[in-house]
Amino acid sequence: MIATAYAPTAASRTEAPPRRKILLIDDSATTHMWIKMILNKSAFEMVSAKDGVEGVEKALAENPDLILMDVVMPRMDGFSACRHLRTHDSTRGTPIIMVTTRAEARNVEEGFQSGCSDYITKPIDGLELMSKVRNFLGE
Amino acid sequence: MRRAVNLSRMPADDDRDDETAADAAPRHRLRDRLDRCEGELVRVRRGLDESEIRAEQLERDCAAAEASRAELAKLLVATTALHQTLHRDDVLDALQEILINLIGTEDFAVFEVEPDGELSLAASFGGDRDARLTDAQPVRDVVASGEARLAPAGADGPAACVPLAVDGRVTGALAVYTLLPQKQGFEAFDHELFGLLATHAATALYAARLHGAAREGVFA
Repeated sequence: MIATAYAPTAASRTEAPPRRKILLIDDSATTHMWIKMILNKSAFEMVSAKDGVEGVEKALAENPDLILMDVVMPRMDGFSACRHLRTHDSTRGTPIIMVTTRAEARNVEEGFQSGCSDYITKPIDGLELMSKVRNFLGE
Repeated sequence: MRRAVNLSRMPADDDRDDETAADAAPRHRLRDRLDRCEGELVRVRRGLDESEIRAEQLERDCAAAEASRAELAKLLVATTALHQTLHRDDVLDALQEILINLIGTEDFAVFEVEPDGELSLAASFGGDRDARLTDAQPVRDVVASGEARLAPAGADGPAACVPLAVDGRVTGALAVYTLLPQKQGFEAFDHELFGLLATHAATALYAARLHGAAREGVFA
């Protein structure tokens, strides 16, 4: 029997998995810049919003895999935006990680009552952020 | 016809006086093979243990590299945020964001040295604004010495006071009074960030002041 060389067919060729989309809602330009660097644009598709109102709009339009949401923001705060997103079918199950400067129990409790999936505190620890993002995205 | 050899029923070495050479040969071959397999098993197990140690070390190295990357990104973000504008208010906003989001401060103030040598309050976040200047002796000391001061936990005055300097000349100071509740204290990297702010915040504020003066001159 003559051995044939392996030649990948179109079907057997594996394509790169689609990049997961992360929506970052924060009014701080510094936080946007830093989180985008940390999460590495090549690994994730980053979408940005500067306040709660824009964040809700972008979340409904872009259907992200994960949302990182600041709490204190102009126009609509993170808790309100989170409650809003939980009323829509398309974003009801989207993981939302609240990013807060206040780690007191009542603030954390309010975050979970508004429907957030998890929270991290500022100043954000880069390793903690990456770990939580990977955990929610199953990577 | 050759007999099948049952290893579990093989006689002990001293109990084989009556075995023939034909019986012994396959048993010796099997024993050699068994010895080689056991040796190979030991090597594989040792290799596996070494691989696990290397994997753990690699995991630690990766975590350290990611932590370093996060810290370098903070330095880059801080520098970029301070120098991407020539407007004084935007520089002060950038400084405020850096102090809150990247260091974890809650209550701080930025002082500038006026031409007459007196301190003025450029920005204050949290706390009593009026008390900043009346209680500014520790800040004056830092401006006079040009040396940063990081106070131990529980000490009076600012938790950290960093001189802002351009070309070796102290132009102001940054005073941090309290940290966010979840921030237990300054970390080694915070010192690097303060070192960066000492020069980059100073030059950004200086450039913004020159830019403002130039614009006033042009439009006067």
